[in-house]
Amino acid sequence: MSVNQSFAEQLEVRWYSNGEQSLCCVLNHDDYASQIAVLCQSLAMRLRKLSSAGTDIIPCQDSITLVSADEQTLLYLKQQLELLLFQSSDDLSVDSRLHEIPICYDDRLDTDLTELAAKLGIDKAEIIERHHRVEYRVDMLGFLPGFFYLSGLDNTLKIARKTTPAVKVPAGSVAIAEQMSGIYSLASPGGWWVVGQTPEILFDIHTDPPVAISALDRIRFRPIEYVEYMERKA
Amino acid sequence: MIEVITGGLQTTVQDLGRRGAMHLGIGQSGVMDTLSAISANRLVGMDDNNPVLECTLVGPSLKFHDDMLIAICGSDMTFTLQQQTIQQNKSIAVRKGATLTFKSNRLGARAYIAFSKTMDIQPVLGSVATHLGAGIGGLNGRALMRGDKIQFIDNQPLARADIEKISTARYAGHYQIRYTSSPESNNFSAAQLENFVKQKYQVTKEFNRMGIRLTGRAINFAEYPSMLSKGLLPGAIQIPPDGLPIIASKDAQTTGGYVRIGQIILADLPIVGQLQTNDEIQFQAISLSDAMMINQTQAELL
Repeated sequence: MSVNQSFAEQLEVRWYSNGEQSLCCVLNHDDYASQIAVLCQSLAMRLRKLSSAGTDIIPCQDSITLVSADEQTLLYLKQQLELLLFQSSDDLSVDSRLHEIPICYDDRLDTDLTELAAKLGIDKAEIIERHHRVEYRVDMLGFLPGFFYLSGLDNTLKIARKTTPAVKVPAGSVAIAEQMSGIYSLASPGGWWVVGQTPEILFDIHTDPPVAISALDRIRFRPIEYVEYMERKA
Repeated sequence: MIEVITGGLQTTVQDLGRRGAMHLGIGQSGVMDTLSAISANRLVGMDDNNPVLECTLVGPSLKFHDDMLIAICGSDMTFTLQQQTIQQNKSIAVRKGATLTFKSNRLGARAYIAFSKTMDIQPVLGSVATHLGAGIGGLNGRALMRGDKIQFIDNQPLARADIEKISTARYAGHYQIRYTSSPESNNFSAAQLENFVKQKYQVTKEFNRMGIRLTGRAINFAEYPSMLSKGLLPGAIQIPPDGLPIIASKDAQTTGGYVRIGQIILADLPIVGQLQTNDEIQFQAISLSDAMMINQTQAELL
């Protein structure tokens, strides 16, 4: 109990206006910085259970954005979130699944590995090794349908986003930027550095739910050969 | 049923949008100019959320296989019905076999065609709104193409127009757009905020359902404020490192990492949906309570 209270007391909570239909709650905790993303997701999941249709609750790595066209509903969500924050503790264990995602780093595919090797001063094979030897956590979904933000990237692979985003990143691209890895389930413009491609389909609007991976799930990448990639893609 | 003779530049099926899926990365979508779409629906006696066709700059040509009423609101897009130019902002009876043909568009970017029937389209996550980037909603997530056939729900009582005429916006090519503060507003200095509202911005060639890029004098940053991505709504005014604003549109990404100088008020979002290349805009900062009052007034006028 005392642990819970001190956690909630030291949690910095700031509220911001985000237009007439939205509020943004930004969280910070000096002692548990890496856990804030988990807290945002678990709070959003609980809040979603209390919310009615027509509302959006968007958890990010250090924030939760509330959206409702109804003023009273928006205030209700804010109150409920404040209540949940007051009760929050550092025990943030959640149910999460481990997904093994096949990835192909072959040169014949569309990747930025050559440029990355030059920029990072690490050779390609080593980048590949460092990219798949760690386990990632899905910190959030966002940007476009089926884009996954993964934390856990090897520190030595940290790199700023491209200055000019690529006009089209193919669907299935696995990329890195800042301290994250990410998966583009759909083709889109993108500013992240592509390291490999997965043949897996991770977003399909005709399935329920349309995304195969949830926030806070864990990801391991399993390298596959070009032949296997092409076979699975066919 | 209607048959698409030509699809036009980008004609999509839209309603008032999708709610409750932003945490999956699936944004709101829906009509860019809600005011015009709602007006068109009311002219044909339908609910505000009844699916409409959103036509962009170059409209479609459609052949009707059913009798129904239609109404066209929004940009000054002109159409002919059996070679006769038809009036906008009015309910029009269309007979089976007639063809509606696009003629021209000058002011404003988007016109809405509403029907006195409901298109028979399977909703995706509660909405038929087309999200082009995600390929969902509407006709397989894409714009209308020659040869498409859109069925309407059978046995629907023919709606009657519940209003005769509506007051409509005037599109002049230069607009004042009001905004309230955003979560990152205090990342901007007083001088930056002052420069932002003092100058005029022009709409570039990049204006679409994802975003509208503006050009003008860039906002300079001594050091660009870094932030973690946050929930992003249509109408957000993002300032990327190059200092030139990008307005988030209805199909915008659900989270964004560029600092936002403000959030455009709901009452001015319909105008944002009508912006086209070279249009000039000037921003004006207002309080949240003023924004709420303006919305109220607009809702009452409709």
